[in-house]
Amino acid sequence: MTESPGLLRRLDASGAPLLIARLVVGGLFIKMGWVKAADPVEFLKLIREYRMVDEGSPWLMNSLAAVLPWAEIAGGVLLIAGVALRGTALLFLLMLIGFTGAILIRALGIFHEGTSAFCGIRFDCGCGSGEVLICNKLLENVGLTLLSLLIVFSRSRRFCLRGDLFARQGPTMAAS
Amino acid sequence: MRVVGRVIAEFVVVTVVCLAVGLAANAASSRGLKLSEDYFRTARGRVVVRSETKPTADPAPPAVADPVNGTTEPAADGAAPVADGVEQRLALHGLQAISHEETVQLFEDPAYGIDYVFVDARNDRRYAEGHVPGAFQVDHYYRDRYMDQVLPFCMGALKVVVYCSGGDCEDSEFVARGLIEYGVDPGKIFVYPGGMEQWRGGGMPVETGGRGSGIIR
Repeated sequence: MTESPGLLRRLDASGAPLLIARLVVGGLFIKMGWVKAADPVEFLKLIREYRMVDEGSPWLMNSLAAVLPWAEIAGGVLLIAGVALRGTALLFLLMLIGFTGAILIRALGIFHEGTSAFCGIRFDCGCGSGEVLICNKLLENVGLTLLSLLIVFSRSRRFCLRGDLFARQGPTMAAS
Repeated sequence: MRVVGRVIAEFVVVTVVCLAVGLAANAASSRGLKLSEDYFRTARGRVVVRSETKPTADPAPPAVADPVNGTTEPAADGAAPVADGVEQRLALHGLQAISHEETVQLFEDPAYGIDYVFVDARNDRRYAEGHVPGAFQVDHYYRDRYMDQVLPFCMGALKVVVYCSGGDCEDSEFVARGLIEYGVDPGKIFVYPGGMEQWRGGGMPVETGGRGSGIIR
């Protein structure tokens, strides 16, 4: 007698959690990428304020400011369209880890100057949402990270154009 | 392991595609950046952070700079001199500051626009929202687009005053250095550190739209 799949498996197989995660993560990255792509100079100045990129290498700082927003938009489109889900989610995971780390380091630097309580710290993190309370931004990034992990580990491929680039499957078959 | 391999391969393909899209979009965009341009070379090692929640000290009253003699005189009664720190910072890059009072004097001089030229170092949107009447615009990050129009006036002027938003804005310094690189005599270039913030705060007229639009507030 075969065991019926657990609740999480059945939920995943429905495709709903994956679809919601794709829409939220993809939509947010498109929105934030668009804001930054519209004013790359402003984004460049914000990257410079982090003091984590060597100013002696303008190539790196300029490339981040010029290319990253459009890469976010492209990745967001891939997620929403349901193409190369795991690869895209992995890329966004790395971005989120990098962004969150940079924000945390900068916030801790401000905190150690003793001018503000940690959760009272606010600055424009360069995320495309203007000046934000850092605790809220960190929570948001944690949420996005969890949703990206869901996309990586989900087995469902419902509502996807081509969820796995290198697997032979139809658009509505769940990957085994 | 085969699944892991496929995921890694997919990640590589997605990354390459996203980077390619980014590079292509930047190249095609009118707001695209030049990847090799050192936009901040005149401010290397000095980063002005604009948006952190730190208590900001009131700006020190600025000293009056005498650009002709290269001296700094005590401020007259009621005048606001340029902060010593700002002067020193500008001097490090071969630039000189000008006080609000002298800036107003140049603006009100009959020779304004010919002998005395003002240059706004902000982007198109901020320039259109309000600038010193008759000021030219040079957006430092796309300066090639503006120099042809502005340079002849700067070359023929006795004094060129460059400003941006004021406060922590550094773009006026970048544009001033850019004018020098394009051949304008550094002795006649002045940076107005107070910028539009101080100009507006002083109740001075502000022109909106393009240069010479005539729409004055």
